[in-house]
Amino acid sequence: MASLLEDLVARRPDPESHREVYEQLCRKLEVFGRIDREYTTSWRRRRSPEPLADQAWPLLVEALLLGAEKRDESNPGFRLKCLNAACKALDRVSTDALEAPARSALESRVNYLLDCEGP
Amino acid sequence: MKPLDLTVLVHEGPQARAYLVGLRRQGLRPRRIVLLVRERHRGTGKVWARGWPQWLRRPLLERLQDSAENYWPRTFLRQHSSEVAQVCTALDPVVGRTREFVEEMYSGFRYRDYGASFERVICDGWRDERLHEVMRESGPVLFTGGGIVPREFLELPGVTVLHVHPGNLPHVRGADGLLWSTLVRGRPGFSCFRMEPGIDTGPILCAEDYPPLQIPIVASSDQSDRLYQLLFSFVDPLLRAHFFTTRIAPGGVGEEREAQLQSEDDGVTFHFLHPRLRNVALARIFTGADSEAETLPTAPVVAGSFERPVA
Repeated sequence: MASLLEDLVARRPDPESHREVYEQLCRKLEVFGRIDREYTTSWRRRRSPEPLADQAWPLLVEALLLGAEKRDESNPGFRLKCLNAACKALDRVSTDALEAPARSALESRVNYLLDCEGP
Repeated sequence: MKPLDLTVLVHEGPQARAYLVGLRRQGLRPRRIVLLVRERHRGTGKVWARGWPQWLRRPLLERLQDSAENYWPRTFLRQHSSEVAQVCTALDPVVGRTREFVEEMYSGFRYRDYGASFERVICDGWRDERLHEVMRESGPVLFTGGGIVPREFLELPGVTVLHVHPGNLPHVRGADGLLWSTLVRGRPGFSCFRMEPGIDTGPILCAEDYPPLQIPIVASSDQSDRLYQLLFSFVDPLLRAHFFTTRIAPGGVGEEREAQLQSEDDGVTFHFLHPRLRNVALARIFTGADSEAETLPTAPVVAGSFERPVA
């Protein structure tokens, strides 16, 4: 999982082309409240699942924000779904996993996207 | 009153009451009302009054669930009546005489007055055989609760379960539908479908967008939990009831009614909103200023012709 997230963040592919990955990340996070270190190829849990390492959670937030920042008005639902999941993932990032300036940078991006959605 | 071949499966709360008041307003009387009387406390998971005689236990359980499930609407009516009045005024262009509607839901309301027959079933959830026994061969059944209904209930012989989802299917599926619809499509939407084991995936009888909601109450972030409860005490139940009783029930709800199949690949399945995004949605609804609502389209949108998002 960590390598998948690193790849998403480094290569910044069009999130729409990785829709299935984003859908699964949102689902695992929002329905089950957890992300595992590894899944099977069909996104099922491994027999002895281990939670995603604390250090990988900022990458998850970053990846979800890439989905949230895509300005595609033909599918605002996907963008907002990613933003919702990013907010929830950011709540889970421990203070040990992310230094204050880096956390503040992620917070700023979330705030900016929320402001864009303002009434 | 015109008879309607429908069983209303009542999960106590504002939604079931709103459906029944709405049906009465349309001059429709459902064939049967079945009130679910939950024996387990939803919060603690404890079974109430186990071993008590039935004649004593049933009224107690009924009273307890009434207090729990109608806590928020009653609290608003008692302590924040001016806010309820503002909600009613905002919904008037759609619902009509909304204040009277709400009063009927909470002043001397009795389920038995709204159906040709009325019965209660004490049960411990959807998998309870006591419930299955009562519901088999019931024909069309209107589901009035929330959450996921297990396959074994949906596949009871001779039963078709109907649900009104607060989102225009297939575009907006999942939880917090009214708020997600407001965020994604700028207005609420409603769909009636025959329930299947997937989430909001069954064949659609009718789907329609409603005018944007604009309620003249200020949406301050420290009040968001209360506004959320206000929305789900009155706005969501009344609009769903309006949709069902004006768009669906008058045309009949049986198997003969045409329905549009959905593809799971269409639309987006949403999850519960994070409080920060929820505040954005609430601020779009609770505008804090007077505004005129659009008038509703007079003709219902038939299944299969619902609006697609702008490409």
